[in-house]
Amino acid sequence: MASSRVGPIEVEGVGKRFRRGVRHDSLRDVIASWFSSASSRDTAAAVPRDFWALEDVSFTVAPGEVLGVIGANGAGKSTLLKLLTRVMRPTVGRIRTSGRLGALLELAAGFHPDLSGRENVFLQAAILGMPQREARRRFDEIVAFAGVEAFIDTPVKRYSSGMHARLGFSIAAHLEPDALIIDEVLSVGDFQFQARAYERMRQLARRGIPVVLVSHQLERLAEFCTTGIVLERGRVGMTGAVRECTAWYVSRAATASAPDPDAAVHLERIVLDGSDDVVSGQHVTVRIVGQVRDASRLASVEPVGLRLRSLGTGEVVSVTSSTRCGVPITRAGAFSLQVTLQCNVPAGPYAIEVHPWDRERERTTQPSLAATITVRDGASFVGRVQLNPQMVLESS
Amino acid sequence: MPLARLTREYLDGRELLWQFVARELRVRYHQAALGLAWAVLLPALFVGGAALLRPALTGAAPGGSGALDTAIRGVLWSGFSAAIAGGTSSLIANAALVGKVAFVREMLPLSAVLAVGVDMLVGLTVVIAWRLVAVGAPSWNVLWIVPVVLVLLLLAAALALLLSAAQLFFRDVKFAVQAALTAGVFVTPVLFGVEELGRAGQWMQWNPLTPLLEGARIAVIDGESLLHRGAGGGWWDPAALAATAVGALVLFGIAAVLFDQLEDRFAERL
Repeated sequence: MASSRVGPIEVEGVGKRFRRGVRHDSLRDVIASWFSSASSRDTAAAVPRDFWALEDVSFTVAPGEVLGVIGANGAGKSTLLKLLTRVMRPTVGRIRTSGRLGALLELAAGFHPDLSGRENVFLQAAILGMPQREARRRFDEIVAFAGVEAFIDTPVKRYSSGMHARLGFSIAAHLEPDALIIDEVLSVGDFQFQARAYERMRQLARRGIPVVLVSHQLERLAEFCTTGIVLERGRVGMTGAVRECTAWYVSRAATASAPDPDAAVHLERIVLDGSDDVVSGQHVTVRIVGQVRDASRLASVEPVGLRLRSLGTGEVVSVTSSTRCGVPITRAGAFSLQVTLQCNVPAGPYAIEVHPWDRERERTTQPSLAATITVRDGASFVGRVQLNPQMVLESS
Repeated sequence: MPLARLTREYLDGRELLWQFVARELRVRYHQAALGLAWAVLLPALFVGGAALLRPALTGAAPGGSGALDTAIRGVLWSGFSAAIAGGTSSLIANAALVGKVAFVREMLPLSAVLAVGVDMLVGLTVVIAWRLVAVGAPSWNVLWIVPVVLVLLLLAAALALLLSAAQLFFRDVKFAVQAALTAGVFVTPVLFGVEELGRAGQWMQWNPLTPLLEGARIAVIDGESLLHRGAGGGWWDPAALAATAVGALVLFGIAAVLFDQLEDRFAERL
């Protein structure tokens, strides 16, 4: 069980400012600048501009909650991780955690290549703040989990990169933290080790501590996390249930960033009819509400384009449209369209994305609206496509 | 209360400190085939060099106790300069760690100094053994070496904290430190003592290292107590040693606070 020091991770109005470019990187520059007031004019042009890697970020992760952090490269995920793990301090705002903080990132940063695996276990444990007594007590467990028993007295420079990473993960994963921060570190190791690593993380999360996970593998996030947060250029773009966040992130990344004010068609909303939980092969229905603003331009515009996107992979698995389905939307004014889809897809999270499509300019004219569904395994097939197998026994 | 917080942080970091010191020593010795021989080699060079060089410079008979004087001062001086050099580059040498993991970073420069302290202990043992053979067993006053070495390490630790942090902000601190250490040997009584240097020696009394180097000589080689004014040939003043000790303590306090203040920006500067 987790210790009594467990509390939420609280992030309040956090911002982190970096200076782009460094004014003086050496003593020589500093001394030179004392003597030449003229050159200070020149350097004024090179005065660093501030750059906010994170701005006004707030969230709380309650004990037992697993928060997935989603965002494109450069969205501020790494900065957030460094702030959460106290490698850096925020420029503004506050971050509060309680008890011992475990971090599954930079797993082998403290390893020294010339030292043996054994020596590195104790070194790395000390760096992570594990008392040596505890490290001695858990030593066998750590080594066994990493599966490097036979090489524990070999210098780690002779380890394969997988062994290196496994030992690093194993040490960090045996910390018994009161809060856990995980980076996408598990792309290391073979798939068997990844499965064990996830199982270990799940065990840790189940102890009722707050967990933050950063990953680009949306499927993993959707499976592992309870809630999500999407970072967009340093700001919080979206928070909520993890599925909603991955859907929002994927559809946003895939479509126009701002609505076109002159668009002939505007879609207002997409509503799911019934449950978002579908068994593979069954039907799901959505209702799309929109408005034709300029009927004269409908010839070059597809009023309702629809894509089914896997949130696990980000891949669009099927595309259709109102025209393809033979539904004429020709008159100006509001319309409502009912769409029924047979979910002949394997289990997983999906987003049904809709948007008007400009055929001439080959782009969407507004950000996609999306409804998310979870397709569940009907157990009738294995593979990538649901064939709705129907088998009749004619003789036996 | 920042001082209470800092004290707690240093106490929390002690296991890490030993791990870092152990890492330093293991890498230096346990892999190298010559092992401890490296630590013995340096004082041997000082003693041998001094035994050959001093008579040539002073016209005295070769092999006198002057060689031992130079050896003990040399061990302390080279320890001090190695500690400063190692301490200065300790953060940048562990950039991957400092930039990515939160830990008590003060332990890196401190461990660099302590690891050199271990080398210094080996060197001092060699010098004391030599004294035993050459001029007989030292008196109990040899124990004065303990506070002298502790003050030397404290001073080195304070400078290592300051310089290692400065190195992250200014890339050329390392070169400035090297230059200062190279110049330092000319204003520190290493090869010759204060007494032997005459007027130059009087100036060197202002060097905070002088009471440490000469104190070590007086305690170990002359076998006199450091409490007696005028010990070791006339000029010794216990107040000078006390001043260095207090100065080192104050500097360490300032260095610890400054390091703590700057620490927030380390990860950004790497």
